[in-house]
Amino acid sequence: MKKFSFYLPVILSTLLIVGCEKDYFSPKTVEVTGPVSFATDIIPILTEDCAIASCHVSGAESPNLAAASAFDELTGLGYVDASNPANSRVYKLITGASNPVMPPAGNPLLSPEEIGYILAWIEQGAQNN
Amino acid sequence: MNSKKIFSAKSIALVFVLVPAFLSAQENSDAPAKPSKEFVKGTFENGVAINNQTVENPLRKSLDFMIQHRFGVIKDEKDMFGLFAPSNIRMGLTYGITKDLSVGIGATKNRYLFDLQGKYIIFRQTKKKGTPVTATYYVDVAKSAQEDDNFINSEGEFKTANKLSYFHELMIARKINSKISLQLAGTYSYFNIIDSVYGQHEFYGVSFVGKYKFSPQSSLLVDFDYLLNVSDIPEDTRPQPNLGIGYEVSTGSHQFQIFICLADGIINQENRVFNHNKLSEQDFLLGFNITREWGFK
Repeated sequence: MKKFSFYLPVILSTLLIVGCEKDYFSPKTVEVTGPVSFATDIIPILTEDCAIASCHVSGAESPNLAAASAFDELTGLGYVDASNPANSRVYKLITGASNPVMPPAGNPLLSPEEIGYILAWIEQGAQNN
Repeated sequence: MNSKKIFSAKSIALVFVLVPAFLSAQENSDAPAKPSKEFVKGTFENGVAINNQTVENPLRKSLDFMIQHRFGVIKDEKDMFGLFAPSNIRMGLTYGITKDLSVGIGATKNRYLFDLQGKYIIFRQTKKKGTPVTATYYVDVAKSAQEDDNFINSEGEFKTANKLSYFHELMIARKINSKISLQLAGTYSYFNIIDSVYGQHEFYGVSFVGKYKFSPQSSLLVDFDYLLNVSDIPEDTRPQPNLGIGYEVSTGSHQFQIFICLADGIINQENRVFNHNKLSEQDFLLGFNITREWGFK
């Protein structure tokens, strides 16, 4: 047992420092320059990826991102910071800058284009257009 | 990835520090029998204090089962002050192989993490003259079970190793008296892949844990951790220091901790590097740790 207790920490610490990489994630957003509409550009993203059964719908997780309530919930519950768009809670959640990353583990993340549209919508004043 | 970079300089340096410590410990254990030292017991009640490891290990041939839970940030009544918000949970097992060495495994909800841990008590505080502190080394590796598509690097490649992250910690603790115990530690976190906005993979930090035992079963706990090399990271992404304040009740084979803290990461490298809840904005959340220990002697 003494030999075991000696070798195991050495083996563990050796194993745990090998296999180190120095990679960066692919960009999580692309720049969207044109005008963005909440109804035609943002709602479809929310409907497909967020307002799904047992997730961000009525009676489940807050905020309720169903089409009828998404704007009020995002702007009224402090998920959007139009004065500092990149600091918006919703943007930080979908880019993984805040925990828990959204959509949660096990679900595909939003594409860089989708994230780009959401950021551009906030940058353009987060309007209900 | 250039194979020459597989071993980072800092990691190799860490081994040079740690291996002699293990060798030294082994040499001592093989030496002729000396009068047994009387070691200080119960510096902390548990191997975990809020969000930090402590110098404690499970007893030899004992199995610890731990549930760690973090609710959402306490904001307002709309989500019942974080209770209805997305939460994080980890369930883990830790086994004491010897009185000094333990290994553990666990699974965490956020980011679908599986972790493997090891903890080794290098030397212990003695009751009389001799060793004034207890020193313990802790290491873990976490692997995400998220889909491979979530780990594509900036060159469009997927590598299995990019699902891994590491954490090393060297802790020094002293039981000042029957009521007060203090612990300081140096930490090292490493992520194989990370957002480019961080601009670095290695994170050095310090941490503090304090315990004030005010009754035979009850203690107040405080923990704090702080990363030292994050000043170049843009402010809206920069990891935030983590503070936790809690209450612990221990009945020997059970420990229960309930607390408020800033980080919801649970795994040590996660709650240091990915904590964006700010003390200045009082982004506290409610959490608890429950431990049950079984002996197999």
